[in-house]
Amino acid sequence: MKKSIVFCVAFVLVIMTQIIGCVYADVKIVSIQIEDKGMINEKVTVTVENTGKVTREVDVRLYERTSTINPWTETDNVLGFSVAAGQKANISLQDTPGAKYKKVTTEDDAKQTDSRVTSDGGDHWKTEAVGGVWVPVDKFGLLAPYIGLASTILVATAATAIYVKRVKRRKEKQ
Amino acid sequence: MNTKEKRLRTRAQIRALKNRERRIATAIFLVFILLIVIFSSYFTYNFLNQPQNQTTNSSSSQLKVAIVDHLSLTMPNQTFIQTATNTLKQEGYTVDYYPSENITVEFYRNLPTHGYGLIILRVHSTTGGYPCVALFTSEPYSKSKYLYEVLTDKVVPVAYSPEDADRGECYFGITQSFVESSMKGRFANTIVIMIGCEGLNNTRMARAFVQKGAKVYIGWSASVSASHTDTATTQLLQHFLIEKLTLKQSVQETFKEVGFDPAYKSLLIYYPLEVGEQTIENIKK
Repeated sequence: MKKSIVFCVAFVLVIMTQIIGCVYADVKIVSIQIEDKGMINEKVTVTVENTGKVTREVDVRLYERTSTINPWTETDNVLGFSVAAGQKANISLQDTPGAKYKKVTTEDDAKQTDSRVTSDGGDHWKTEAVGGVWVPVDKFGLLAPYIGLASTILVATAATAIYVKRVKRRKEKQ
Repeated sequence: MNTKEKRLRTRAQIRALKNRERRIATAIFLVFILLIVIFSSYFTYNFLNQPQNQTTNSSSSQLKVAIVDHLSLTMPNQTFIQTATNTLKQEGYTVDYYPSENITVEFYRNLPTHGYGLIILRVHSTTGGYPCVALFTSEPYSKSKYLYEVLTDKVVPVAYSPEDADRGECYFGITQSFVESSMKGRFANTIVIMIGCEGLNNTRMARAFVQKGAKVYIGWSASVSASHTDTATTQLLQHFLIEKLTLKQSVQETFKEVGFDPAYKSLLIYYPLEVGEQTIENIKK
């Protein structure tokens, strides 16, 4: 009897956890794109996905980091928007002079390179790393023009040889 | 008379025909020679233009510092440059500053010949998933340049992002093979501080520098953000050059102050480990 009660309670807990997990699944950030890395007109687009079962209100806070972390926008750096269940949504911020969302001006503003995006799902860093990507090389493609040139030379050589032979043969006949 | 004229005309025609054929044969031959000359000249330039070993004039080399600021265009930080320069000058070093536009393949090729005692490589760098590191130059990638070195993976095309790569905005990058066999001369017990991404993700680049005469190579274990690497380097220079701590202590103190990179969790480390117990004074000797 005791065992079955414990089993039932455990079963209910598991089911409840699953339901809560489904409904309140985290709103996750799919991508953060930073366009125009200039000091002004920098545009940040944050795409989030609601993997839960109900519409969620998402707050996005943008920060810039120098030696300290500063809000990216001058006044209201919290951007609220709704994301329907199972949907993706994005929000963009553009840093233009005179616009509502203006970059915080600090002494080190000219060197700002990193941005942090925070959602109610936690902190997500999007930083400009001093890295890059390695571009694969098509080595055959690089050599192709030279292979073509070599082939042309070979063909020209063969043609010349044949021609010279023919001329000689003709001379001999005469 | 008619027969004679006919014969003469036929002979003249044959002669003209022969002359024409000779001219064509000569033209083909000349084109052929020209092609060979062009072909061999190009390959002589690309393939045989290998660096010659030069002996480095290492006199007073320990007092010379190079700041290679490849990030000066994309991620400028004048405060860092100024602070680092002041720290170095305070200790009697002469500082040569190289902005982004000066950073070419040829610049790296000749880097050991200047006899620097300390080189700060503030450059974009990447492993790109390969077990080696590429240091960026500002020289736009061209299919016809450094052909031999591209084919032998000494020089590789690199880009700041996959989007840039798709747009064809690529640059030349140098690999450890370039350091090993294409750089001229040798480093003179140089301390190399490579503050780009993944500089010590693996030890290949570090080993190449050390084999080329560098005393120690300091770099990040993974990707790093510009602001973090600049802050850490400033602290490292302070501990190592001003406070005269050992390299190990300097790196440890720097870590205590700045920690891991907040975004990429990378860590400043050095190669080879045995240099850790040395101070700048020991290395200078």
